[in-house]
Amino acid sequence: MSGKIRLLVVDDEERFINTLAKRLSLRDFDVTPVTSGEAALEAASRQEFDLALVDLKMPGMSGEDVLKTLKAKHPFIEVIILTGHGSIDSAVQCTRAGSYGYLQKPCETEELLEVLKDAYQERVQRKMNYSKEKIEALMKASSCESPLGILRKLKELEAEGSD
Amino acid sequence: MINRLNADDIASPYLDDRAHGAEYFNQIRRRLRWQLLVAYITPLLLLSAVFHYQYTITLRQEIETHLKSVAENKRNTVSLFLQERVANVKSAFHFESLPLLFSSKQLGRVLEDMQKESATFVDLGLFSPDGKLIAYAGPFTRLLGKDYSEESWFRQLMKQKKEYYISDVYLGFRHQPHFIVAARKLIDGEMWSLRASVDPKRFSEFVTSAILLKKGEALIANRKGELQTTTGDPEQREVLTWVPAKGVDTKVQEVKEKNTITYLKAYAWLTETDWTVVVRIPTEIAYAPIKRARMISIGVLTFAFALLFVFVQRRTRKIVWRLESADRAKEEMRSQLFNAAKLASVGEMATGIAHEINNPLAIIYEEAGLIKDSLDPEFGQEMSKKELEESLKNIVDATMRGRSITSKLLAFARKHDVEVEPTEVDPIINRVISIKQREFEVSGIAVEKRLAANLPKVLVNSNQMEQVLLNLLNNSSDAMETVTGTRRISVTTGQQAEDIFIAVQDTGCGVSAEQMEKIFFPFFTTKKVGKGTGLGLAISYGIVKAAGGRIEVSSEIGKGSTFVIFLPIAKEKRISSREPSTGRAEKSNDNGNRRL
Ligand SMILES: Nc1ncnc2c1ncn2[C@@H]1O[C@H](COP(=O)(O)OP(=O)(O)OP(=O)(O)O)[C@@H](O)[C@H]1O
Ligand SMILES: [Mg+2]
Repeated sequence: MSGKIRLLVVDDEERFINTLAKRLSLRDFDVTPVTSGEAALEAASRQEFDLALVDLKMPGMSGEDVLKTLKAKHPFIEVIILTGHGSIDSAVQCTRAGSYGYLQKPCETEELLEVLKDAYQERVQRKMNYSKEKIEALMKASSCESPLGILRKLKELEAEGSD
Repeated sequence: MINRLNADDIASPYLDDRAHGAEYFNQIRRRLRWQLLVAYITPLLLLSAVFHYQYTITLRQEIETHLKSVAENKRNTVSLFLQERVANVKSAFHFESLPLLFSSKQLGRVLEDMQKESATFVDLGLFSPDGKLIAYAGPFTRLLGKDYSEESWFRQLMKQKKEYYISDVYLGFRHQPHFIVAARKLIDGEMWSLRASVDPKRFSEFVTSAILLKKGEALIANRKGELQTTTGDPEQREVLTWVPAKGVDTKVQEVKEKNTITYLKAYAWLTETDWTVVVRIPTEIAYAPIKRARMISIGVLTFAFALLFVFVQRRTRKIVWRLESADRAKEEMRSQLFNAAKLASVGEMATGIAHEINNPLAIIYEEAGLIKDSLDPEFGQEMSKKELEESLKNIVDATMRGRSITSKLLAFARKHDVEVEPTEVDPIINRVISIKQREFEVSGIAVEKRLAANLPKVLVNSNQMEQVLLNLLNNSSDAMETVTGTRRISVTTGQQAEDIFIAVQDTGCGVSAEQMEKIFFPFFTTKKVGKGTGLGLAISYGIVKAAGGRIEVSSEIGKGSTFVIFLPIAKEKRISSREPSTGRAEKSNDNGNRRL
């Protein structure tokens, strides 16, 4: 880890994401801008991301599909929708599909940062909970196992922690 | 596969199939009720008519047979009676010697013997060959010596072959109703006759008694129909209107008498004399069972009809109620759909606008943010002049994008009130193509014009038509951007019925069936950000529609598309004023357009 939050930005408005990427980079984000859903999935398969900022209306794969696929493939990624095409229906749908937040363009920088922060917090929390549960389960199950066996399992668990 | 669409088809599924009014259902109810009634009642009616007919015939036959047998029985008894009376007279003649009979006293004894046989005998008289009453026994002694040679019975008896004669009831010299039984005998070459008179009262009683027919009566009539079974004055006796000719068969006939009563009558002729036994019964009574049966069946039928009517009424009400509620449900669904479609279209429009405007706004916001960031010492990132210029350019571009959207929206909204005039289409087409000429050359697109000569004018606004054509040409050239083969646009004009058409054909990517349904919707686009707003066809459709025309599309994926604009030929009268309905028509079509 570089110590920066790894953020995937998906939007077909190239100028917009480029500028946004510049600005978020200044704020200690490690931003990867892509202009289509397909490109986003490819990027996510190559590199682990903490968060994704996804537009809804794009030619080709829609934002909602990107959201679903990302959530299915990478359980710990938090996806935030950022769209100019806001409607309550689509907001509800995206929340159901597992998006952490739903923001409307143009979005104030403070608000965006706030949501990104909360989303990141959520991700960390979930990851930690997950590890804790795993360890507890492991301990419970392995009360009779040899210390060496436990050690091996814990090591596995740590490796599993990342997406 | 070729995909086709007439832009109007988008709206049409909603406009047909309206719900029906109350009058429609009343009509159905009435018709259904009649049909059901007829369907149920006809067989019932037919069946009962057949049964009734059959029953009537059988019953009539039965009645007639009965009447006949009564008449024949009566004939036989009367016949027997008369034969006996004749035999009485004959035997008196034969067993007594003639001289003995000359004495009225002796004759009185013979009468007494005869009266023992039958009380109907009144008197007895002996007639000489020249017709004089020589001897007499009975109450009318004054008749003695009277000359009967001119009396009809006497002459008849002398004349005929039969040795006896029975007369009709008549008054005769005694002025009392009676009939006679006379017999003749040749004695020593001279014809003597013996005559007994019979009391018609007794005879009548005998005839009319013991008849096996309720309310019926037995009578005797002669050939003329004059009743012989009457006690009163023969001159005033009843005369039957009709008597069949003498025969052996018993006849049954319905006869109306002078007193207006209609009788069913059986006639049986006697052989002894020209009398017929008539058994009669008023038709009304004879056929009473038929009438009763008819009344009963009418009663039953009426009841059945009433029942059926109630049944049909309820059935009809139920069926129509079901129809009505189905129709209502359909109507409800239709209006809900309509509303949903309208809401969706307004919502779609709004989100479309929001998207198109918010995107450039977001760009502006971020560029401004970037500049602001560069001024913030915290980030320590000053912008280079070049960077700043780029940001500003982005802001200006985004602003222009926003403006182009709003102006297109305005065009979309404003298309209603423009000046129209009879216009030739050729100059418009030429102008638009010349505008695009350079661009087409650069992109390697060939333009082919096939314009029909001497086309009539159309009533349009030429600026708007230019806009429409420009939209179509832009779409075609956009559709051919990725095409590697031939890039060609053909513009063809012509006349079809009352319309002028302008067809724009390209060799572009084509429109899929799925997209075909949406291409006329505002904001539907398959093009890149900033390249297409999806308003071109929506605006064009509105304009063409307002001019009273239509747009048809056919397309094949990978081969190309053809958009055909049809415009009605301008009629000279319509130059100054616009068709009043177009405004409304256009509005509804806008709905139709957005609805899906
Ligand atoms: N000639 C054509 N060939 C293939 N597709 C077409 C053609 N014309 C229109 N389309 C399809 O219909 C869509 C809607 O067209 P429309 O003209 O309404 O909007 P647009 O061209 O995308 O944007 P705008 O015209 O507002 O710049 C297009 O995005 C395209 O997918
Ligand atoms: Mg267009």
